[in-house]
Amino acid sequence: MKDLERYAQLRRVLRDMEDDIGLSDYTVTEKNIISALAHLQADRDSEEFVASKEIKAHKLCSDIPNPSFFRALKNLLSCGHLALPADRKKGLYRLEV
Amino acid sequence: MLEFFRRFSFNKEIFAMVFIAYCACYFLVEFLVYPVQMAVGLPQTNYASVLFLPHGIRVLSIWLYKGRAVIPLFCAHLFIYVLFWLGEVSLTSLAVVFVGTFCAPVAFILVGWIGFDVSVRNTEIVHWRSILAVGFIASVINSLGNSLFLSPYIEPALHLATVATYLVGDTLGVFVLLLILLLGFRLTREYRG
Repeated sequence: MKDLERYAQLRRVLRDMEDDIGLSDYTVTEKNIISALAHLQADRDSEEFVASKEIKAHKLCSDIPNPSFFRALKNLLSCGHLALPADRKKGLYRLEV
Repeated sequence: MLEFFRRFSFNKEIFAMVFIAYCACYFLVEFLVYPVQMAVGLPQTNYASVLFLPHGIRVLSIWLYKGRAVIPLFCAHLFIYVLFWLGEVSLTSLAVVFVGTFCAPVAFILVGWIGFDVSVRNTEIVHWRSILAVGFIASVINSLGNSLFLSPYIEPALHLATVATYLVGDTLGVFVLLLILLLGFRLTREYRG
């Protein structure tokens, strides 16, 4: 397992703990997006970006209204919790470790 | 056979990280926790700590690095034991070092045998609580082993209190270490963003 994957694993566990003990600053929608993205990234190489369509189709995000979903994505991007590829402004996302 | 050696193979980055982390946590306990325990007047302070952060390093390093964490954990345990405890390598000290080194791997193996998956791929569990639970199982193994080998050195009246302190101290050590890491990452995030 690569170092980045191990680091990402640890970060995921700590985010869960943060949420569980009530220290998380995220809204419910943002938590669902982060969890969905974490699950999707766990199934592939953690350095790969995931399309917003796939995140929206995930069972944790499928019920979120589109405006709320994209507003939460924008919020998470501006706080630095998500990253975009260098040559794009939207569409592909990755959890920022 | 090759797979066995590959699993426990030496990696200098992992060795450095685990060895340094274990020793740093032990120094924290030795110079912060133990003086507070002595000031409060806990009689089992000579044998056990109520907040043993190095146990958190044992559990987390095995969870992250599996077999590759065993060699650095063993070396760190031996280094600390010689530095702070008996000052010499005896059979008792080696036995205690082995118990401390292998309590976490054995706990993960036992948990794996009953079919419980603590990896992040298991989406049905709350991971940090599962790691804490495995830390508690490792603590039971550690306290049983330490009680067995150190019983000639512990006052009989303090045996039960010492075992209880091992259990509490080790498990609290895992929780507090996770909390320290969590707060550290939050600070980094706030500083960056």
